[in-house]
Amino acid sequence: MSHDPDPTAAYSSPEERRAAEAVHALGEARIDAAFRARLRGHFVAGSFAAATEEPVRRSAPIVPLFAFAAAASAALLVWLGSAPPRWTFAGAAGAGELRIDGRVVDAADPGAVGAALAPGALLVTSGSLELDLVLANRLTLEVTPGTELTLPDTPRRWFGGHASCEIVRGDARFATGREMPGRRFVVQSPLAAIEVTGTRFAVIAEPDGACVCVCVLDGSVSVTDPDGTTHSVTGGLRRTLFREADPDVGEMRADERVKLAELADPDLN
Amino acid sequence: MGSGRETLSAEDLARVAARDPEALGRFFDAWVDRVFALAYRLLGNRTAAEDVSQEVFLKIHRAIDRLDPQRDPGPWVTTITCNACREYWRSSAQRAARSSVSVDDLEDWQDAHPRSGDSPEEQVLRAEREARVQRALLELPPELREVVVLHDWRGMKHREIAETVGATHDAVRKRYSRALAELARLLKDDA
Repeated sequence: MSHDPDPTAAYSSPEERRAAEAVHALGEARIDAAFRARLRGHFVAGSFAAATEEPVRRSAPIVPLFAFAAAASAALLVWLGSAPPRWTFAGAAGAGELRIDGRVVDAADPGAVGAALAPGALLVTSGSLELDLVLANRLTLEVTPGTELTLPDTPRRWFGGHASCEIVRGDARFATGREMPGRRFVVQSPLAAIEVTGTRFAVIAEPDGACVCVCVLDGSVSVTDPDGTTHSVTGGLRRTLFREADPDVGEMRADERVKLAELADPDLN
Repeated sequence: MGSGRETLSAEDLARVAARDPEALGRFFDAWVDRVFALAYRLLGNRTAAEDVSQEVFLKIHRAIDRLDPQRDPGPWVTTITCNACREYWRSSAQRAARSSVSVDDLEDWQDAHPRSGDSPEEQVLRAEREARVQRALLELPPELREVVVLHDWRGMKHREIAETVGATHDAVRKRYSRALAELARLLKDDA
């Protein structure tokens, strides 16, 4: 911060002085550029006020039913307008079985796969089957063979803004897009909760749940260990959690770096 | 929040109050970073800080015609931001987000304080030091957190804080004293 510490402050202990200095030294979090631009546009145009303002009260005594209907219609329009994009099927490679919510789906039939991709659906791949799925401008998801995960839900555009999914076992790679910043995305795995915005990362969960590795290509993700402590993993690094050993931090493997770099950008779909 | 990064003249502020689009844009540019940064420090969560920033500018937009061009809008903007954070603390959204600690700010902090010689491990350590202080702040009751952030991080005097949060000068001094004692204990325990 730019101001100087208060020279007249009387601290009752050195610990208090250090605490004050630690707060003083905290950096200034920067606002996400995309969010800033959107908010600026709304502020200058007054458009977000029109979308979220309460109904005009002075008309209520005259035609209360009309005012109520107008407010309800406006709310419905806002709600419908905020509808999230749908998951789309971007391709498959290899051979094997795809099960979505327990039902076998033909991975060679894009229409059938697309129709089954409901948020929260349980996907299981076997054999050598790999799937590429896209949530336009928000997320790219690559599901590798032998993976079991729930498909991330799709946050509405203006409300809530929270997406999550769970990896039961296997490997999944994620890339977040331009509409994802400002919306929380949380991946639950057997040994860790991973929270992210604006990055590319992989979560690798061993089939028996004994080990989970979080690899980050760029940006930063937050990993909450089983003991509840939260750690940041920044670009180029990995954090590996073991059920029966201490976590390990280090450089991510070169082959995983290549795979993440090749992951399609959700903004291009 | 003393002044915005760009100082708007009384004439500019009159145009803001008249909802002139160009002036509104300049007003937004002058304040948005500080509103977001303060909301982030008070809430400790990027998504929450964005929600609150949006709420703050919505409230400013609704009330902008009551802006007094002769006065510094800083205290007004700070008060709206603190009020919006308090509303957020009372909301279910806060309870839902409480368990999650975002680390996006850590990356931001690194960007703002570049040290080209730092290894990735050193960057992580630095980021975790900051996260430790932020976590301790989040352990404080909101009314104590607010006072210590406004005083030690934002650099406001106790009297200015009293006007901003609607409390007496004495009450703010007492809250600050309690906040600092508790923060010192939390950081000591966490060391």
